[in-house]
Amino acid sequence: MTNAIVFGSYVPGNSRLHRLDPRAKLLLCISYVVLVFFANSWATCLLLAAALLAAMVMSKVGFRLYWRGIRPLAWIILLTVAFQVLFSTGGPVYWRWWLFTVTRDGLVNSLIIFFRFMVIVTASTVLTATTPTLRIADALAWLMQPLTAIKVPVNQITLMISIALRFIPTIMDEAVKIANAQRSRGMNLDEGGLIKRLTRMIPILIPLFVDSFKRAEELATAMEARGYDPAAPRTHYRQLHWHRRDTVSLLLLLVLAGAVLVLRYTL
Amino acid sequence: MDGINLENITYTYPGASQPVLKGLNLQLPRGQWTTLIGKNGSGKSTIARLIDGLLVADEGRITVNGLPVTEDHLTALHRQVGIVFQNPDNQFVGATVADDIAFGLENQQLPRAEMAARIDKALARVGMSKLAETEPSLLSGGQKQRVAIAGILALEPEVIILDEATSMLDPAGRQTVLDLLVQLRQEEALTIVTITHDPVEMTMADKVVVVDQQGIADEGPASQILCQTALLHRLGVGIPVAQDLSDRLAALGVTVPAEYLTTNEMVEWLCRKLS
Repeated sequence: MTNAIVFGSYVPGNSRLHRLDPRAKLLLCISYVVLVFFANSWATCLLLAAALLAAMVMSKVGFRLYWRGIRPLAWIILLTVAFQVLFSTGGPVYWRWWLFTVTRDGLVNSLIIFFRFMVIVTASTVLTATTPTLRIADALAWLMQPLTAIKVPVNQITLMISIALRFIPTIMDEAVKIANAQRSRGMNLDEGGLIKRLTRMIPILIPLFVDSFKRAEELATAMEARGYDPAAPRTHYRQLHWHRRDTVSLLLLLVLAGAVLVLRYTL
Repeated sequence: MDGINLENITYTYPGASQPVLKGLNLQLPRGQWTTLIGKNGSGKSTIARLIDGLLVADEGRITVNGLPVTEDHLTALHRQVGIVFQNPDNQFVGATVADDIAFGLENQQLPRAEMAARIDKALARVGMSKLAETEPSLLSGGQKQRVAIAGILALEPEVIILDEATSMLDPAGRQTVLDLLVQLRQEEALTIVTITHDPVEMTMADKVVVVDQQGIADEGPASQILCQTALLHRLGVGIPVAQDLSDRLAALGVTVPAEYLTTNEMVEWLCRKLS
């Protein structure tokens, strides 16, 4: 349950998108995000939005769940848009007061930024909703493989990520336990202003940190006892399988990219 | 030489003024179940870590089935010796049960096909085949410890050490782990070393070793150790029910057998006495 707040997103299912190879999905998502930055007109924006909508429908994940994924970010999006509207200059001025000016360019920019934000967040939510976090980590590891050539410790980084993910629920449980322990000693976590509430987090965070370091040390010993040697090569139990549908999905994205680029540079 | 041999071992933790073990000698025969008991901080866990080369002794020599415990043999050593630690959570590396068991196999660079077979076999041994794809947060403590044991069995070790591995489990979880150990001792020629405060666990071992004051205070079969009530009190070990009963009978002037009796043996003895 605590897990749901952080990575709220994986929605078990068996849709076409769920079945795609995580590497394909990660590549699709990244290239889509890049494409979004090429969108500069109604036509390109609508095309990209339509493609995203198609993916959302194909994922068979309810729109309400997507909304839940975006909602926590709504404040950041609104704030950024408000800044754009109020502070950017250029073009005819519609309204001016003190430091704030609303101009035509400002409005257009804020609209574009709003669109980009929404689309990028939604696209990543489609990825995380249809792919278990661990699979995404696997795909990321694969994507980083070329970096081994420049001596980046990709395998250690991958192991680190997967251990971090595995320990999130454990540490969340621990945080709840510590909070309860502090409550039972008479601490009131739910009252007072922002500052007061924040300072009350300290007696929870310090034990949590101490405990996490202890955990880390024990885990390191256990890993060493099981023969882990960071310098030695390892084989991999989890294997990803690339199917034809994955190639097809990438080809479809290529078509979309072509369309967006043609629209941008020829019209 | 067979089994585990510790000769004249001294170990001091960094920053400590006193060595935790001093001139310790201990032989753990191959294929036997030995239990180490002692107060917290007496050095039981230190012995376990020294055997697996996780700590390096200041002085002395350790061999595991003839293999000297030194820096050069660590890889071979970790293959021979598996340790199950106390906290079920802090030794679970994988994101799922199967991934966790695979961790040790990946370290040994086993090909994937063989890995899958070994994982299936190990899970079947501990009775967790159905939970192969489960995440650790959904498992009970006893289940996690069984996964830890499976992770070690998959590596096909010669020695398995349980460092208070049942102390954080509820009675049912503890029982499943202990039953598993009994079964393993019968079916495989494993050398088992357990560290415990639990008298029931001690009675299951072939030999009980008392670790106290930087060395070995006493060793022998459980029947000889568990009847020394004063010693058990000093170590903070729980007195087994039958021994407690026998002590109280002795205090009332009844002549009781000198050695430790299990609860069943005590019942039989009492029945014979009363009939």
